[in-house]
Amino acid sequence: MNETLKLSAGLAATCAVAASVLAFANWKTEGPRKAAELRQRKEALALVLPAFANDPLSEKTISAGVTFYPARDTDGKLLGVAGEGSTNKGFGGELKTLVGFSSQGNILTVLITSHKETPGLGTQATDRKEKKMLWDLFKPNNKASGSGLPPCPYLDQYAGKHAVVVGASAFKVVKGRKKKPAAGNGPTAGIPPGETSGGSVQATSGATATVQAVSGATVTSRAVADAVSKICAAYVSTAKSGGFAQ
Amino acid sequence: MNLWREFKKGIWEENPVLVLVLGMCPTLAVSSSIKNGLGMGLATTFVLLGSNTVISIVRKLIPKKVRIPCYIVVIATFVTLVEMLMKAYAPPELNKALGIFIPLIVVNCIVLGRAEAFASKNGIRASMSDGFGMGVGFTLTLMALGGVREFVGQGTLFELQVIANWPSFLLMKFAPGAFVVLGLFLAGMNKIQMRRAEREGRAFSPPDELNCRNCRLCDLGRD
Repeated sequence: MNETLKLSAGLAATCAVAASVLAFANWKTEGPRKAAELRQRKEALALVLPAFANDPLSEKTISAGVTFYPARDTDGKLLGVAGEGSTNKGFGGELKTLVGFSSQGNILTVLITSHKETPGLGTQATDRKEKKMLWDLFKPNNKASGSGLPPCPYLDQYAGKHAVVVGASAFKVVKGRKKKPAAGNGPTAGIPPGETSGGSVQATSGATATVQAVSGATVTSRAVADAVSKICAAYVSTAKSGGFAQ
Repeated sequence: MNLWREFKKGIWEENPVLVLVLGMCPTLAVSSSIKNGLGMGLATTFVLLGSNTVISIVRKLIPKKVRIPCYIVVIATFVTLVEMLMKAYAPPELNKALGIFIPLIVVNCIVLGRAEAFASKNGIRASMSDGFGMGVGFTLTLMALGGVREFVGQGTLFELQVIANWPSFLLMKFAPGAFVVLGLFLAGMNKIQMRRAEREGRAFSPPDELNCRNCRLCDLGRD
């Protein structure tokens, strides 16, 4: 009995010390962590939205489970909206996506703000990075890099698609060789962009939009498509109910 | 205790991946490119250094029979601390590069293995050297594996394309390729050691710690 007590006391003491150390560190780093997150959020918004003059963070609204950040120019006119949503279908867990919409309802950019995907595999569908050649290191810097948004072949497929088409019948993710895109894929192929007059978007009977999955990262590709579809659906329903003040 | 010896052994003679065969899970998962290997290696080295030091400091206070849970608590605390500090103070670039690897370190057997096999029985400075050496060895091995897999799989080194239009060798990106490359590395390592033992006129044998006669695996539960 005495032995058990000693063992339990030892273990309990270790856990108590560990817990207090962590609690202290948590309390101390809370502020800087929030500040860092805010900075990242602002950078992400700057990447997915056209140049704006307001502070989208302060005007955020939440509707249909998606957080929307409106971007306005100096006159207060709506330039575009960024929607942030998440999905639990990621390979490693939660996947948060930020989608920038133009005022016409077209997708401008898709950015993955947080994910737990496998580095090297799933991250091919989530990370944006410059493709560089080794020899470029030695060449004098001739081309101007830093246009703001590094490319990601998978995520760039979403650019230009219309929210109505996407939200109506979620993105289909296809594998296999690249084939000619099905009719109704492009932003103008037979489907007029919805008119956003006074905040209403006209629904059109949509064809499904398809994207190519990244080979070896199908689950991640599907998760991203799921998140983007949810955000688009929320955008459409919010716009229809007049959620975005012009 | 020769500190330099403790440090050096982690890089070659008792390389945690190729000789002690520890930490296989993160090795296979993260050695897909040099950058990933470097990131994971650096983070693990930091945790190894810290946990070895702390466990060496408190080794006389922890009751022997519950030492493994206590070590795990210490290691997990350290990893959480590292994660919090990184999120708060590290530049976003570093966070993006290393952020996903940090939680994976808790399940890295190297950390627990060194705590049990070394830090719990040796002084602080020796434990620090041991932890640091193991970490450096781990990092170098991951980078070597990552280099092979990345180059053969995609033709890039450190994400810089070396040869344009390299056909993508999918096997190298996945676990089977990891197993194959790791197996080849292990075979190579064994061959080098065998040859060295032959030249020195002695029989090739694994380090004392791994010798079955010195096995203390079954003693783990006992006092």
